Amino acid sequence: MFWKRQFPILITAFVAVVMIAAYFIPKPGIADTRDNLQVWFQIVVMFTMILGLLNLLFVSWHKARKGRKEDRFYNWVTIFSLLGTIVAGFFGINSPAFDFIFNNIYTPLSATIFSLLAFYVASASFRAFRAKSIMATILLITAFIVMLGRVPLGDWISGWAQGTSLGFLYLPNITNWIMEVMNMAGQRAVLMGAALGLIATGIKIILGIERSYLGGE
Amino acid sequence: MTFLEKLDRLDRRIIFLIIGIAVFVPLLFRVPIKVVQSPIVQDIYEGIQALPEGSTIMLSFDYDPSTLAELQPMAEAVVKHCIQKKHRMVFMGLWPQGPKLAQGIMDEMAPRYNLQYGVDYVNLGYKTGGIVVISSLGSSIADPFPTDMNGTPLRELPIFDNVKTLRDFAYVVSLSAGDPGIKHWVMIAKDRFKVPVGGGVTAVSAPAFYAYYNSGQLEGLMGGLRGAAEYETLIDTPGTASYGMNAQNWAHLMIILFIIIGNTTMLVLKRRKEKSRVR
Amino acid sequence: MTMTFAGAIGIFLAGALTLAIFSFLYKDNPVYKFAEHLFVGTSAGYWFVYNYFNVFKPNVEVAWKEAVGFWDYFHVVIPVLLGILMLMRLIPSVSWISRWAMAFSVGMTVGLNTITELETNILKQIGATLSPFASLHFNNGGLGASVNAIIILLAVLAALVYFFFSKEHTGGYGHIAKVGIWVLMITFGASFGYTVMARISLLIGRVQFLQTDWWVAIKHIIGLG
Repeated sequence: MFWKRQFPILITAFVAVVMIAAYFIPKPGIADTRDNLQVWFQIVVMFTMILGLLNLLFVSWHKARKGRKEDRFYNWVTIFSLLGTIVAGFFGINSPAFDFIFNNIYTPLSATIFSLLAFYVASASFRAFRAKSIMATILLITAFIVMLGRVPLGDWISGWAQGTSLGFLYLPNITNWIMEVMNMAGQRAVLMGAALGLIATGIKIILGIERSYLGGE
Repeated sequence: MTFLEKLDRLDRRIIFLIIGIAVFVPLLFRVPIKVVQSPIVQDIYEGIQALPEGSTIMLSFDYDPSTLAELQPMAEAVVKHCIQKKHRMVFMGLWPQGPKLAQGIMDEMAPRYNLQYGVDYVNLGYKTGGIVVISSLGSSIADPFPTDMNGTPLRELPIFDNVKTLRDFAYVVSLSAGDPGIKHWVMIAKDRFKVPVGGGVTAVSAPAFYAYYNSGQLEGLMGGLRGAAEYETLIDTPGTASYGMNAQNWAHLMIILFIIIGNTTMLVLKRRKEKSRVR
Repeated sequence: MTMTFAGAIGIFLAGALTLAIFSFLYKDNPVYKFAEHLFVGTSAGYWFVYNYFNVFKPNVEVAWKEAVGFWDYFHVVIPVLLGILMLMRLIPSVSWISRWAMAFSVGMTVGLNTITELETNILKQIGATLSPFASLHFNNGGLGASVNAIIILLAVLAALVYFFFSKEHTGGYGHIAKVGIWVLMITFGASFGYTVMARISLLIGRVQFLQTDWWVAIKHIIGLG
């Protein structure tokens, strides 16, 4: 049906062409259209976030009432903390209640959950990071040099070489060279490869060849 | 089971404990460490230092509390540097938590250094849209941000008397934990509107941005806690990053030892298995 | 900054929640699960509140109140309508209409990203790789920079050759691709080293909080400081 498949593809193509044209044609008409579309976009994205929030609420509500018995309590925790934060927020984003939730609940939880990764990286380094080939060995040796060169320890153990004819053995110097030459070259290649892929996909989307973003049917 | 076989099957909670001690104990001593500067951090410092006093700088807080430990020390160091140089600061965020983290810094700095809101600094708040917001700023700041974070129209804030679009900023500093972030500032602010861009990122993403630094698209970059410690050394004000480098030392050493021990154990056990198969 | 009793209670709570998350390292337990779900709820609530105050209020509410003339109202009504269409995704019988809003969002990002990716990540990167050759010299202190420029060019080309999978990696082409893998292994090794640094830094941040702020808060609560 036209309104379900072709019309959305036309919207995508029209909006994308306006954005591309505005880049090259600095005329007021096109520039104004682009500026208006950009402001519209922020409002639409806000609704997308509300969509995600409502989805979370519905899923948690469903699990809290009909999910596994041992997990129901935790889904109620999600629901009440979500609603409680919204209620606190409506007293103002600088209100004491909202500040309390942000500073003493949200921030420590967010920071700590990601800090757990330090322990898992340590565990993985003992159990999983195996130099089973020459390539893996190169990777690990590079990692060792960078890990030592980026902490004061690297300066302490190789500081004797700094300013001498053996200055190339100074770990921070080696690390800087690895980062600014070898790493940079590899990252540049990855960047360019990814950009080519993005551009190709973008063109396919504009031309209506790539339609997976519309979902099924 | 031999010792090596036991070591190979070591309970990971013991590894967790070791790394926990390697971080906890050094931090008890609260010793700030001055670190050797790298050119990439030096360049962002010199970029801000070279600006005429009173320049208006955009500081975009594009991160959330999950990366607080790495990016907040950088943010504090850059803000202190801007205050030292009497630069005017406009804060915003492409992530919703960013402006609130900026506010936390200014709640402490503003009374300490007698900074006036609206004149010396402003917090525009957060907007959805990532790269589209930055593009929108290029036409007019008031387009995406008709008001600041507190609902005050921009026309009532003196800091915007001569600053109407992104081009009017002397420098953009993006403290970025991912997407949207510093990459988009480079794409639009630097490449399209020619505004110098520097910033700080988490150590995870720092290696990828060396390509932008090499091409001159990024003026400079702080990478992770180390980058923050370098900046603190440059402004001669030790902070949480400088105090944290001691623990970073020992933790890195532990990780390297774990890798060496793990690989050695694997090699020895592999050889033993091959020998027993031959027999 | 002097700590009030209420502030100390708040920091104590923050520390307790920190330890609740760390308890997962021993094993999964109800305290950790409670903290995890609390995080999900407060995170979602925070996003909603900030989107309302920072996006909806200024760009919709205030824009509507200050609108003068048809076009001002038009520029508020249309994006809000698109947003409502996006929410229709939750109703299965009419979820197809959310495609219009999705198409608008995708069109915007594709239109903007296609050109900027081309300029920032291809043209400028090619330029940066080749431009040092305009002033290459091997004396007067320029040896290091010149050698580095040659290494960078060769390394970038080799890595790009490796990524081109439409041609089989055999013969001379295969050898260049192999050099490309070596370059990428060094790149990934550097990334791994930085990733370790990042993860450890996050832990350092939490331990610093527990050792300073939290400890001060406990002393304040029990009357020792």
